[in-house]
Amino acid sequence: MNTLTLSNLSFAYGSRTILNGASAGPLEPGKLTALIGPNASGKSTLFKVIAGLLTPTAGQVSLGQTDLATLSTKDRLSRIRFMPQFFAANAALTVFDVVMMAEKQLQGWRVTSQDMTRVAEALHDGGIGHLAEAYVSELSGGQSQMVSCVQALIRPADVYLFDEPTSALDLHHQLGVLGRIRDAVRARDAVGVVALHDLNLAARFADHLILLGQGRVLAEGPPNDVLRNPALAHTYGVDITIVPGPREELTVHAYAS
Amino acid sequence: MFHTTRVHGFTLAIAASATLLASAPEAFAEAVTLTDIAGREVTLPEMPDKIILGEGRMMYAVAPLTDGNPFEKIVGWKDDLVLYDPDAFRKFEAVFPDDAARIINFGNPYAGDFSIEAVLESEADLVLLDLGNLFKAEDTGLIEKLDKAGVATVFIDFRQNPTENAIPSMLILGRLLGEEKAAAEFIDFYIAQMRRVTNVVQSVPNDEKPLVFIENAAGWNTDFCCWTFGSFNYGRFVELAGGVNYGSTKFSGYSTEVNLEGIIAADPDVIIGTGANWAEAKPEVTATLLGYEGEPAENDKRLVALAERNGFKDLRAVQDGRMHSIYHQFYNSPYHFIAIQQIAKWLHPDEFEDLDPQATFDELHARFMPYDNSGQFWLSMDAPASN
Amino acid sequence: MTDQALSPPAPQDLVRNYKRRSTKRVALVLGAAALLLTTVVVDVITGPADLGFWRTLHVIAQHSVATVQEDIIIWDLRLPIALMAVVVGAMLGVAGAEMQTILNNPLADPFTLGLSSAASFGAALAIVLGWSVIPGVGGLFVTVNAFVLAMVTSLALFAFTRLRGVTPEAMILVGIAMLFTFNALLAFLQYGASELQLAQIIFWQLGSLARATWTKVGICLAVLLIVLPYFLHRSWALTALRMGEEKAAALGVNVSLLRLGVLAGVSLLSAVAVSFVGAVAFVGLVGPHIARMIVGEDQRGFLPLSALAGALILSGTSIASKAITPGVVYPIGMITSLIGIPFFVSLILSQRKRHWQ
Repeated sequence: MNTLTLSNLSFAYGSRTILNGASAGPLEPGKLTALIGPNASGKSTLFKVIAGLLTPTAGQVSLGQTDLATLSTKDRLSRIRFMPQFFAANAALTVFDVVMMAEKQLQGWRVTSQDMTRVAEALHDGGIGHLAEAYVSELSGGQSQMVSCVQALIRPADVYLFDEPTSALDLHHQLGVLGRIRDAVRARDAVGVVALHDLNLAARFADHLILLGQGRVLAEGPPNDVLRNPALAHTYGVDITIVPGPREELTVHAYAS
Repeated sequence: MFHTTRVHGFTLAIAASATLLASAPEAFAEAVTLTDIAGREVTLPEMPDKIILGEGRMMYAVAPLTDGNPFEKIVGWKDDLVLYDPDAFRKFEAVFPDDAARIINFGNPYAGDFSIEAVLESEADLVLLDLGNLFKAEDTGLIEKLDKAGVATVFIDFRQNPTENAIPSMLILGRLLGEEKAAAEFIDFYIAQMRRVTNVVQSVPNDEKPLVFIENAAGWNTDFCCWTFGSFNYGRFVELAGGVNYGSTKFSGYSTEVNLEGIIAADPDVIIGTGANWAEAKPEVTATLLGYEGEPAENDKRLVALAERNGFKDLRAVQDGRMHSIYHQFYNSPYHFIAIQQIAKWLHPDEFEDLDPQATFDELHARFMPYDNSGQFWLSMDAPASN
Repeated sequence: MTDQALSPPAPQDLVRNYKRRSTKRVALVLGAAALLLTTVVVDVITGPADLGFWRTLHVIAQHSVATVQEDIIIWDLRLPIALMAVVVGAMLGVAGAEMQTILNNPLADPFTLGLSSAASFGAALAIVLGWSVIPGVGGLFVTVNAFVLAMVTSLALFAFTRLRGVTPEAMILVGIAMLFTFNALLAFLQYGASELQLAQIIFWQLGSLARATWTKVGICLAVLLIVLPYFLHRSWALTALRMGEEKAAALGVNVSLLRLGVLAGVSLLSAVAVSFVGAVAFVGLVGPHIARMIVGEDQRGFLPLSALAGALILSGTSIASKAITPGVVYPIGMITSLIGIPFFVSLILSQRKRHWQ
């Protein structure tokens, strides 16, 4: 099985260190992992390193037995789907166009009816079928996040990375999007990693949590363990109380310390 | 201020001074006020004796007015005469080698290389500019700058509207150079020679006026045809010489680009290209190299090559041997009556059978110029032998 | 957010809409091509010499029936000019479209980035001062100077993009700085130019098709046929780039390599075009805008339509320039601005959707 393992990853922009020996995993296929941590803890950078858009100064990412650094960019991107959550929204492209672009993987001029059906179904399943012919320049922030999510999920892959997929969504859509991501990851038996700010959502949807702080992995494990780890409160600089919610989920309450 | 160089003795010197004082006191004691071709009233505190020519080709007008050394009052110029009519420059150089070497090249008055400081250093008191560049002179603040420096500017014109402005320009030059008499003499000659054509053309009915296409600077652009004149300059010369100028039928401006197809469609009776010795400044030109050093054999070849350009060789004018070439610089000189006479002869050979432009040109040189005529200033193509 | 609970459209409806749009796009491209064919025909049959429609077509179809005059007028004068208008228009349209795409800026075109002014300045150097940038090219040195300066300018722009932290916005500013610099230098040379030199410089400044020859048409076409397939091949990548660099990179686009390749192609297109017809403002800017308003920015429609729109503008200009005063050649750059800008403004005003904001 293709587990994702991060070993000792380091990365720096010039003299500014972002990742400092981050190790995590192996992350199991079919499970959703939430990457949590305060602002500037290195979540986006870690995603880009995993996706191969940034080259780490040290460490490696492996999928199963394969060191991803040995793959070509094309192979790597076909196995790992990374969707930045925001895009330049001034293009005269429709939602259908941009999802088709993800479906085509930049290959081939011809669009087959199979391609079209897949895009249409993905839009429908993603709850944005009514936006298919809208220009991306007309979308709200939340709508474009949903488009990104559909773009990410349209092709099969071994690993899906979502950077803050719900930050601009209302409650109803947050639950919908995360639910779809979890279902897709399970159905495809793929590794799913979601960066989240909302610890309650992380507790609700993730099978596994990784707490990132100062470019290191401070804690890793099932939500119950990580959320109760003192490092969490320390990293965020708040006091945290965990209580069971009305439906047996964990709820996180934070207080200024 | 006294230029009495030929005074041999004391008595003569006194006599000369007395004559000057008596006959022309205002010439140096009083200011000169005149209206130039731009309509500006210009006042000079005294007669200018250090003059800068905004164009070197103004020497065409200065030379016939001065008896003796035309460079006497000239301190500098723009080097266009050297670049675009080197033949004429060498003519001057041969007679006045020291002066030709002494003349300072001030460059283009409207470009950055024209330095007011250099003008001041040369102690110039007058800059002569051409009317065609009035806008540039105003735009660049040249007139004001020179004015502040105490240097007067006067506009003359032999190019923009030569047939109208040549006489007043010569009058102005005559006054500025203190050569009113010579100017009057030249103007007499000019009027007489112009009348020899216009008096005859007056009685030529309009339907006997051939359609003439003037190709401005034929062969300057090696890859393209054609530039032509509207009812100005050479276009006007054609009209005065009893022809219908193709350019005037198309547009009202001074000069423009016309397309070859229009010329093929109009199929003019006569084609006249202008040429000068540009080959020294711009080696790739295919123009006829007309001027004081023009060589008939070379120019024959060049004219044939121009006539063989694509689109030209089947034109009626070429087939009929009515393609001609004439000295381009007549367009910027007071001798354009020579061009008008020659064009009249080309257009109406019978009416002007007795007119001999070459003789007129020779007479001009004999009476007014410091050097003799030479070279070639126009030529015609023979009709192709095959037709 | 819209409440999708109302009645979410079925997938087959979405497919049908997309298909309809794709068909419409193909139809628009074909329609533009047909329109272009019409303008080319009109361009070829109009001129100061009245040859008639059928006679002209006959001469084109059957070269041997032509009289000498017809032969010259149609084969040497009208056809090269008409085709030059099409090819150069397409080159400028494509160059503008891809410059706008890779720089993510709607104002980018060969003119605003200073390439046209650089070419004009290079030509003016040759015309006024007789300087040849590359020695030994003979009578072609004006064209060669124009080409070399345009290429050097785009290389300089390009070197600029390689500097770390230089944004596309900064590049546009550098381009505009170049535009003004070269225009100033050009004005400087103009003031020093003689009357004949000035007439020659105007050709470069305002553009003209009058100097078209079959050789020039051939060179332009060859360049277009080298560059365009590469752009078409990178269609998806270029479309992806419009979603932002990060998104494109995530989709597998090597953004800096793509920018490099496209900028090289765009530089070649614009440098060749301006070194043959002079600076034609507005075509490279407006052609792509018209295409964008009509088919959006999916490069599979955007790129061909930008090329066609550019070709149509210039072909129309060629006809218009003959219609003003038969026989007199007007600079095309002047006409593209005069007829194009009102058209452009009305398009913007009537456009509901606003991109690039």
